[in-house]
Amino acid sequence: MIHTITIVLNSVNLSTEVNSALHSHSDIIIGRMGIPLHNENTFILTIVVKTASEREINNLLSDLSRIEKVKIAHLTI
Amino acid sequence: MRKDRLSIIGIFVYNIEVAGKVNQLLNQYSSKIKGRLGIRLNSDKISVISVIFIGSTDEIGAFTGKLGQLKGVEVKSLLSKEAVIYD
Repeated sequence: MIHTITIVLNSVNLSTEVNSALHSHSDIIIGRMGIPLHNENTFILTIVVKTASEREINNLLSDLSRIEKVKIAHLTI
Repeated sequence: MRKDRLSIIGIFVYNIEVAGKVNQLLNQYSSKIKGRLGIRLNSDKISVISVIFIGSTDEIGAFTGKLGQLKGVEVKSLLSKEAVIYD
């Protein structure tokens, strides 16, 4: 299963937490693109994920949604 | 107002263990980074990262120097000919 997850942060300080959450699932992440918008204090990150099971994607999504003030959009292709 | 250069910095990461340190460096310089794109290849053993960085030649040099010192990382940078006045 291939997925895209877009992560929006309203504080650049949260990016370390997001990065460590992503790093613990790095084996399923194929690619990522990040654009910081400093003037709007927003950081947008889109990742492409490939999983063999629902469990893997649910684990990643729950780790990400645990981070306060993070908005997530998930699309399964 | 400062005279900065545009740069595109290309990074090859051959060693997955060092990927965390690469990300830490990118975080450290995040105010200079306008965007980044990373793709994993070869059954995820190799990462290729492209970064758009705006800074002085010293800042660009410091960033690429620190990256290049990491084991299993190759870095190359492309700098704009003209200095960009960036505020």
